[in-house]
Amino acid sequence: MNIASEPGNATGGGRLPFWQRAALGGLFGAAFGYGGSELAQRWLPAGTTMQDLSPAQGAAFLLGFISLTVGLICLAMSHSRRLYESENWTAEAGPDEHRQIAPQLRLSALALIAMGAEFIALGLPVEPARAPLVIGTVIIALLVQLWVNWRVWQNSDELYRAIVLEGSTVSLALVLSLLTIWAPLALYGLVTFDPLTAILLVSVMCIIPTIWLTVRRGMIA
Amino acid sequence: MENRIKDLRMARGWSQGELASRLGVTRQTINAVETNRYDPSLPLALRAAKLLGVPVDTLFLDDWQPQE
Repeated sequence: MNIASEPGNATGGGRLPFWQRAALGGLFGAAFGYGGSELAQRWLPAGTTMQDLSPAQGAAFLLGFISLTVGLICLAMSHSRRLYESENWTAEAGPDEHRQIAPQLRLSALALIAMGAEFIALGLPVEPARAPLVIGTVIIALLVQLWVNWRVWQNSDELYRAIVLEGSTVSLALVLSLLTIWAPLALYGLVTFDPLTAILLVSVMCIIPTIWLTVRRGMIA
Repeated sequence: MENRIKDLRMARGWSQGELASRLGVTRQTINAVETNRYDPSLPLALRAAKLLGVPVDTLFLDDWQPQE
């Protein structure tokens, strides 16, 4: 076992001990959450607070905000050669790794930003007069995501494609199961069926298997 | 599937990135194969065997035997 990776032990190369990294992560998370809710409050229409949003709207807003933030982080990372030259990346990486990964990272950032815009638009309570703006944002964001997916597929090798195919199979099974259970419950009035909740659950069921498989197949290493 | 890619790669003094570049895949793919998290396609397995100078069944270890 690598002693340096055990919780509580300082790792080599100037890394902080586990508890310090956990504390920093917690502090960062708290600051991110507070900043996010403050920012969200500013985006809401006048006279509306976060408490006025339905659970689905709140979840859409939160998912959109997270996507937007992660997308911006990916965009910053794609421009940071220093990150790839750090000790953790150079052990097995070739000299061209940054050049190879940066365009894919930029495309992923674009898709995440588009997804963030889409969910924020869906989560925002707006007056009917602004509906065309929301619908337009959602359609453009969807087209951007489809284009990015196509481009990433074109530029990827077999590991990424295998993960996408495997993830799609798991996602399809999850979505079918969810809708098959949800449909009769909604038909008999036991639960409501609203499109925003549906698109959120379907999105989560597509994202989670892909993340799980990306880690399981060793793509993040 | 167990394999000897890492041993043979290191014997040549190549990093994962160098091997990936020679095989036309990403370093993540090489890492996933070396850590037995992903079984490569047949074309990639054949290319890796050719590049590392060993037969495929020496590169990838499988103890399956046909039944008599």
